[in-house]
Parts: sequence; C-alpha cells; structure tokens
Amino acid sequence: MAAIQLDGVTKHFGAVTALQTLDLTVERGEIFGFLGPNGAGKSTAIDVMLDYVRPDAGTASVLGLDSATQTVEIRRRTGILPDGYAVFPAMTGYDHLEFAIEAVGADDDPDALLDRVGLTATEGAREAESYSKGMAQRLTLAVALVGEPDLLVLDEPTTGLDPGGARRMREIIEAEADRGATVFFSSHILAQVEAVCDRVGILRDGQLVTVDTIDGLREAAGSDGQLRLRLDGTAESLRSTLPETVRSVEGVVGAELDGDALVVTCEDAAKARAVAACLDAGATVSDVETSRRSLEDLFVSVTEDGR
Amino acid sequence: MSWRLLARKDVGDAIRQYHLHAAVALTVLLFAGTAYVTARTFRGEPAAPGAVAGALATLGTFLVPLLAVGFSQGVVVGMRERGDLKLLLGLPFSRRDVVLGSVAGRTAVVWASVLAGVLIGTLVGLARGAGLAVDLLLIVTGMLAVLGAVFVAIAVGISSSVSTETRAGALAIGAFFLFVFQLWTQIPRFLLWLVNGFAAPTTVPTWVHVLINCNPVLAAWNLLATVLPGGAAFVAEMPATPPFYRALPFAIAVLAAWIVGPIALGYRRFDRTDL
Repeated sequence: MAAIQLDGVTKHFGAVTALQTLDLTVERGEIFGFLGPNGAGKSTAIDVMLDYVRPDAGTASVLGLDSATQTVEIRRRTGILPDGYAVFPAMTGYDHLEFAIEAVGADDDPDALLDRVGLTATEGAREAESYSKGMAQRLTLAVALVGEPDLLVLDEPTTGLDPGGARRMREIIEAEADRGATVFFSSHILAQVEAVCDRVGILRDGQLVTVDTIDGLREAAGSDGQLRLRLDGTAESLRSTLPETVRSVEGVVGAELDGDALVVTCEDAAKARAVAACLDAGATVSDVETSRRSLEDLFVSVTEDGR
Repeated sequence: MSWRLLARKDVGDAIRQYHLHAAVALTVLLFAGTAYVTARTFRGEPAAPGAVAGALATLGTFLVPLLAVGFSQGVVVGMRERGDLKLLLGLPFSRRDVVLGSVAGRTAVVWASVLAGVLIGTLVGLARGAGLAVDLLLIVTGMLAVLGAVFVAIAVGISSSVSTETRAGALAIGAFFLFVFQLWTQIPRFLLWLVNGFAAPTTVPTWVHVLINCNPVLAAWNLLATVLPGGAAFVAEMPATPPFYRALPFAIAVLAAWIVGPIALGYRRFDRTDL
C-alpha cells in the first residue's frame, strides 16, 4: 500500500489549471521530494491529499485511506506543515503543543518537541503570534511531529529558516525516515531535495514531468561535463584554431573560446583527451577547471523547456 | 467527538483574547444598570415583583443577539483568512468539528454573559428593595439563552459560508437588524401587498401571520408569553387559545429551526469550499 496515491487529479481555480490529471505514487518509508517552480501546483497537490481542496476529477488516497472521506484518520496519522498557515492567536508555543498532543491523543513531552526543533523553553512560553517566520516554522514542525506520524507532509519546510534551521530540518527529516515514517516534502530549492531525498518528482504546470531517484536524475542529466582551460601565453593565432582542433576529439560535444579560456563540453571520459589535444597543438595550458552538469541545470531545463 | 475539544479551545480563545471578559462586563454593566433603575417606581417605592425580570428580558432581547452576532460572526472565516484553520485541520479534526465546536464555544460565552448579567442584575434589584420573582427570572434567563444560541448559530452559519470577514460582518449585522428590529415583519407584508395587486387588503391572511412569527425574536417572546405564569405585565397578553403560529409548539419549532438551519447550511457550504 502506497503512502500517497494520486490518480488523475485535476483541479481548476477559475480559468487557472492548477493540476492536470496528476498521477503520483509515493511508497512507504521513502523520502520523496516534490520539486517545481513557483505556481507549478505543488501546494494544490498537497491540499488535495489533506482535503483542504476538493479536486474536480481524480482521487487521492493517503496511507491507504481516501482523502475525501477518511480525512480525520489521515490527519491523525499524518504530520503536516502546510503552506500559507498562521499560528493560533493568543496561544503560546506550549499551548500549541499541548493542544496538538490532546487532539492527536499522543503522550509527547512538549519540552522535548521544542528542543528537537530548536526552540527554547522561554520561547515556548511566548505567544506564538509574536514569533518570527522561522520560529513559527519550527513550532509548526514540532506540532507536525506530535504522535510519531506515519507520514510527514511538509510544504516548503525551510521557508524562513536560517541555515542552522534548514540543517536541523534536514536532520529531523532523516531521523523521521529512519524511524520508519514516510516523508513527502515540496520545495523549489533543488539543493535541499538533492541532499535528503530518495526520489524526486518534478512538477510543471500541474503535471508531473519526471519522477526518478537522484542518481537516475543525474544520469538523465547526462554525464556531460565542462572543462575550462586557461590559455595564458598561448599565441593568438593558435588560440583561434583550438576550438576546431578540440571538437574533432572523440567524445567532445563542443568547444568555444571565452576570453583567454577555452570552454569544452564533453563526456567525462574525454576530458583528458581534450587537454592532451590542446597540448599536442602546442598551446600553453596554465590551469584546468572541471565541472559536471548540475541537477540544477536539469531542473531548470525540465521545468522551463517549452515555455 | 473532537468538536468538544474545539469548543474548549474556542472558549479558551475567548478568555485569552479577553472576549469573554468584555462580553460579561458589558452584560453585567447594562443588566445591573437596568435593574437599578427599574427596581423602584418613579415615586421611589419598590417595584412589583417581576418588574426587574421584565426589564432584563426587554434589554436582553437586544443585547444578547448583539453579543452573539458580534462575537461569532468572525469565528470560522477569521481562522480561514488568517490561516490558522490550515494548522487546525492538520490535526485530526473535520470541518464539521470546526463548525460545531465554534457554535458550542461561542454559545458558552454568550450563556456565561447572560447568567452573570441576570445574577448581578437580580442582586442589584434585591439591594434596591425590589421583590424577587425567581420563576420569572429563570424563565427570562432561559429565553435569553435560547435567543443567544439562535444568534450564535446564525452568525457561525454565516461565518462558515463566506470567504471574507467583511462579508461575514455585513451579513451578520444584516441578520441582527432583520430580526431584532423586526424588518422581517415587512417582508410578508410586502409580499401580501404584491399578491394583492399593489394594494393593502382588508383582511390579513393567515400565511402572513405565520411568516411574521417565524422571526426567532418574536418566537422567543411568544414562548415567554405562553410560559410566564398568569401573563406577566411586561409581555403582551397571550389569548387563552392562541392561534397556532403564536402557540408554544410553533415557537419551539421556529427557534429550533433557526439553530439547526443556519448550522446545517453553513456547514454544507463550508464543507464544499476550497480552503
């Protein structure tokens, strides 16, 4: 039984299509990253899972329960960090946690929860409305962790967090997954997803463009890397012939001059041959920088192609 | 039964935000003042037993719906606009829990105000030498409590149906004037004038009376007039055999309908909406 199952979910808001026959399966126990640019429909998909929003077509189920009819049970077993939420007015951090613990029917220790998300007891005793965005985010994460949920659904969890908070968030996600929970979180920041996720789904214009493991995505991004050869002290006449020379090397896709550097795009395996070709031609190579095409490039190309 | 926890949170909110204090203080102040004034006649003699109860009933008919509407119209839509509804519904609650919990919580706040007001009003009346009419006071308290529940239900129903606090406020104030200031009465009269070919008829048909008496405030007074022993001085005398639309069963049905109807309609709309 899947942790999350969306079948043909379509949702329009007026003339805007937020989700277009979206199919998505998240397996139990995995950390699933839900990536997409702003406005791709990530929050709407989450809202459908938790019945904040009713789809026009299609069905959603969470932990094997129907989102539309077994909502309360889903919410009991799921910890949620929603998008566009506010904390309860006039309630302290402790009030929030005690209320959540009672609602879920759990026996968590509020102090331990606060400590886990990096809030002090003094902060917990303050009214949550006076919190900064990052502190509210920490408190809401603590509320989501109440009762050891089977599933954590986190919508843009690092919004407003400082780097320390973002790292703590990642550690909590990993710890929860180790405990056996499924973690589903959305982000438009690839680096966060890349760091913790087992699988990634990329959403664009309400449709899933790709679902794969991080390694799979890397492979899809291609093994093409880039070489940047600095040609200080190489004669101008020789320089201008180098791109053509290098392009003829097996495995090289492209080569171009960029100031006093030669930029070569090639398979990883062809990098050494490209450098050798330059040296053979008599060029002086003073420095070599190498890079791989990043997932970021892939993300941008997948989400922006055809726009 | 999670709505009970939400009702408790709602009362807690009213306490934390000093809404309960304000509602109780306002009611106590106005009820005590009214009791003080009505406990003696113009000549300074102690007023008849029941005079204080009657004055509290008259004042309460305005004040209690006002309190109920004022403190309830923003409850659900406010959570929705601020966003704490999303946090709340992340916990194991249904939308029905939210509506029922809000009705129960706000009703408790209004009831606390009514109780405190009647209690202090009675004490003030006693201190000024007015006779104590326990039965009248109990009946008036009950009537005001029912009226409070009706207007909480109407206001929470409105609050659950709309997407902005501005709209909820406008509709709730509209409902208050419609029923408390008897604008409602003009609707059947206007309809009658319409169906009569834009002229005033010589006799008023029964359906007009029925519609007029569907106003929950009128129903509450019909209830009072029927229940009060021997027809207390402050309510219009009820005929020995009142027409059915002024009799007890009709009044109870109207009041019950104005509690259940708005909650049901509000929940229906709230349940279908995207948050």
